[in-house]
Amino acid sequence: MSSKKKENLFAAGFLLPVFVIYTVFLFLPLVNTAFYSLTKWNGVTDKVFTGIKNYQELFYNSDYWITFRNTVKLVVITLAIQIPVGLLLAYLLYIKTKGAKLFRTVFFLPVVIAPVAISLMFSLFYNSEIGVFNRILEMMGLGRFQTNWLSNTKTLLYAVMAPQVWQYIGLYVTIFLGALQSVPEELVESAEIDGAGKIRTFFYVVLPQITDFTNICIILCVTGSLKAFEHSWIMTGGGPGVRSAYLGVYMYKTAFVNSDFGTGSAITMTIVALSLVITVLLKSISAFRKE
Amino acid sequence: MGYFRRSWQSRIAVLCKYVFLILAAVVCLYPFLWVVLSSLKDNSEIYRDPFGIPVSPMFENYAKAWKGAEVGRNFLNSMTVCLATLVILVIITAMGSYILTRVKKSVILDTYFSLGIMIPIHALLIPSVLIFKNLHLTDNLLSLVIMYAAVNVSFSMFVMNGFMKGIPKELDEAATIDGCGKGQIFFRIIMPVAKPGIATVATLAFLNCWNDLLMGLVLISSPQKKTLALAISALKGSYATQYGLLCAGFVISIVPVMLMYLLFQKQVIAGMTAGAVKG
Amino acid sequence: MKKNHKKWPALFMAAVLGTGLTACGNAGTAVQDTEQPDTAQADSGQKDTEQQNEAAEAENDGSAGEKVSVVLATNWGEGDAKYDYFYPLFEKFQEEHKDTMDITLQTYSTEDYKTKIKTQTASGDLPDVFTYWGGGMMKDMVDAGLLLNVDDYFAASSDVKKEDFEDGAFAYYTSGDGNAYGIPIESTRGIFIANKSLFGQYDLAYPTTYEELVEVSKVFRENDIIPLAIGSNGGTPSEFFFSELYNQYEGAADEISALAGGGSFHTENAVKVAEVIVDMIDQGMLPADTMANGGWTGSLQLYTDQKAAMTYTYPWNFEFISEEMQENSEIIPIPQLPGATVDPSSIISGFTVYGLVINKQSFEDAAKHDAVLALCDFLASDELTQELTKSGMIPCKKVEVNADEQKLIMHKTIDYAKDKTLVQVHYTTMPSADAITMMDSSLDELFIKAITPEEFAQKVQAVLDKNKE
Repeated sequence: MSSKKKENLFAAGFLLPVFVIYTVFLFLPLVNTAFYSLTKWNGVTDKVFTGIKNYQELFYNSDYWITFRNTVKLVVITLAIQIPVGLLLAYLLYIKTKGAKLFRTVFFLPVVIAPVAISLMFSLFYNSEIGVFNRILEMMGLGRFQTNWLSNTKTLLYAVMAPQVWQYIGLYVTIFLGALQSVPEELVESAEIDGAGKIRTFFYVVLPQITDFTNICIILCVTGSLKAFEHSWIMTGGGPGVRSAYLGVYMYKTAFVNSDFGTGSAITMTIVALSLVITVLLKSISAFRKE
Repeated sequence: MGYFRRSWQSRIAVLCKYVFLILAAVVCLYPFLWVVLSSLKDNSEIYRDPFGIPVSPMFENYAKAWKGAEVGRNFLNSMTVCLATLVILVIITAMGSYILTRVKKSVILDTYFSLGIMIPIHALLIPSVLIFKNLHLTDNLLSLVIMYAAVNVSFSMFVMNGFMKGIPKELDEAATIDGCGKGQIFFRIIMPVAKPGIATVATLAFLNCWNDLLMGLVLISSPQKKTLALAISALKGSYATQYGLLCAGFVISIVPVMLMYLLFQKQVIAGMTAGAVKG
Repeated sequence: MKKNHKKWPALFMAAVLGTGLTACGNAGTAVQDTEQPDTAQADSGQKDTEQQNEAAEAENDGSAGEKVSVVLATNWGEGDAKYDYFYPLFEKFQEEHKDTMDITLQTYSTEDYKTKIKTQTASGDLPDVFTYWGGGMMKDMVDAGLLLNVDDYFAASSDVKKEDFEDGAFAYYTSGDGNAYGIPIESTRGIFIANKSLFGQYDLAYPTTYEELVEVSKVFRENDIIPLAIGSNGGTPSEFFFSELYNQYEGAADEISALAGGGSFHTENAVKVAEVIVDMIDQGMLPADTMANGGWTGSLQLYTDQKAAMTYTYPWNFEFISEEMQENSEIIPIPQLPGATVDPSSIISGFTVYGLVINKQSFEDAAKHDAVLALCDFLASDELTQELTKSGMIPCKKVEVNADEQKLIMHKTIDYAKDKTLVQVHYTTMPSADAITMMDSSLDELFIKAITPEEFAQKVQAVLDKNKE
């Protein structure tokens, strides 16, 4: 009995630091934000409690829904590109490739470069007056696809997404490479001896072994997209209008540019809610798959 | 022997693989190169010839960026903050993760800790300033350390948990038989085995801290306490910006992160690897 | 195992409730007890408490010999042209007052700076003296009584008088109650410049009417030269260009100044100007990609690289125009638009950009009063103003400016502006920040033709209407 108590005490003691720091400096601010979201507040005068009015207004705000849609699009696109490409590159490095270490380092490089620099570079890249991207298209015989990437309502959003999607692939390469290296070699070899081709082996033997990592990557990918801010803010300020803004950008603009902290906080809460929904969905899907 | 047995198809496949990898590498290497090249140009040249080699390299951009961003002083600030954050973060998350994965599992606490990964940093700006004001820690590097540790808890717990789960239970059991207490097990056995996991957390958290702008912006006021990222951001003009100067600043700030990654990448990869070996 | 499962949630709930209750009231205090012992050990932590003790002591015994801590915030970041001129003088001032004052200088570049000041306001941590924008930007602060009526400052100051400033410079800082809440620092003039050699090369005359502009543009376009380097990214520089065009129409000046007092944005003139802009786009006068070529840097660069024949710019960009290009540039009136009644060669947009505001509480705090006063006297001094003009700033204060240290393009601007009537821009008269934001982002949309002129005017008006509710 006393040893049980001792163990509990020990567990509590070990958990305490992380629990306190996390609760006080992350969770409490979130509670504060939740409270702000129920008020009308310009960041200067006193907060006025307005109940769920901010949320109601958001619901009828077409700009909000545009940014909402943009965010969901970003989630889908990052998932559809970052994860498979990251996995593919990792796999290519994994199957006895010369210079794998060098490649690995190189792929990781973009991850450490400040998004400001990347966004600036892409703005110049797209600029039709300077015309690098358009020139490349022409050289590849795709001249008819030339356009004003950032001023065409059809391409604008995707042009803003591209640098972000591309920049973080290296992170997933690193994670997947680690994952692949952890798959016991005997497993792969025996599958190949059994006559399964490389592709079959990959899908039926390797992939199931690294589900945990795939889940980590998916969650990183989703939450990263839901919080996306910098690339859009720097390249276009989320504009024109809110055409290239994500929820994070819209939140920042509402709260810090327009000084409407109540509505800004409400947008934040919807981002958190959306993350929660997606995470729970993903978790239950993976739990379901396991069964 | 094996080489000759290979069909021409598989040789083409290998060729394709390398072509693809090299292409990908170029695409990844290029932006870094671009930042370096641009750091030696002025605005005119960046716009006129954005992807060319600088005609007469402007090394003075570096001198100006170095002086303008007070790199000597602010680099130290950044290093101090980031390293302090890493030490705190690694210890507290390792301790927490140890308990939650090996001593007392709790789905609720797991979920609670994973919540943080979804919170956009902008949501924390004003509340955190208020908290530190009440703690009398405004314009204090310590506030940054605490905040960086807090925002990285979720992700670190996430990685750490995966890793801790992978350490064989037999290790604890053997140690318990030898008469080690839980605390001893953690410090003597788990922590050393957990090194790769720690390296992973450290690298990713370092990246987050080093590049952070917003937290630093709202928590730090005096120039003497600015982090490098903040100081470099201040190189932007109020209206037009000298991009060459800014790029020189970026290069200066990328170098330490690259070094950090090169230094630890072995452990990072190993960390990812070890995490998957399930107990 | 099951027992434990039940225990954790309970512990968790207790902790959340315990800490959560304090969140709405006084978020920090509950934490303080547990955290303070650890944190106080750090050097910087100690230093801070010391500073606070000092401040507290100073408060106790009034303005007796103790050092006073004051915070000065400016948007002149290290990369800004003004920093190099400001900082040496500031250091001198700091040195002279080192026995009585402990000044924290907080500088960030403009966008970061705005965020910083907003969080500081929200957390009740406003600097003692800081540069800030007037009009819609400062409105909330004035309403909350945070800013000092500058008449109080001028009454207290022996060095600086309100009459030392240009007429009308205070308009931007004058609130609905008729009082001014800021000391204007920087004024500006919008100029339309043309590349002399390009016009010479194609044997063209500077256009004076819209029809002529259309003709000139055709020639330039045929030769792969962009006629007008004006883009729109975040409303720059389109917003100012829009206002400049607007001022050509009848009643424009009154309509723009009426905005501050609740006038409407959606006017016939607004739609007319927006239509002209759309026509300019259709005629190929503007860069094809107005987003990528927007912003101050983007728009100016096309012009300075001689890829564009004309542009519209402001003195704060002069730093980026090479001496050759300054020589090669002619300031010309904007061509007269169809149906315009105001002669464009008789007007120039000129307005206060920003200035200095004073934290009312600090000024009225007996301990800080003298320090704040001295600091303001320094910031509004002739000496600093003259020094700042070297960066290409047009001062709001009437000071002797040494012409030799001015850029050529500045001479040209001053010459050109001499006999012109100053007109306002929407930026300074918009009653709230969100209306300015909406104008900017909708202009971006108008420039890529994603919305019609009518929709543009409606969108901005909708924000104004909403705020009136």
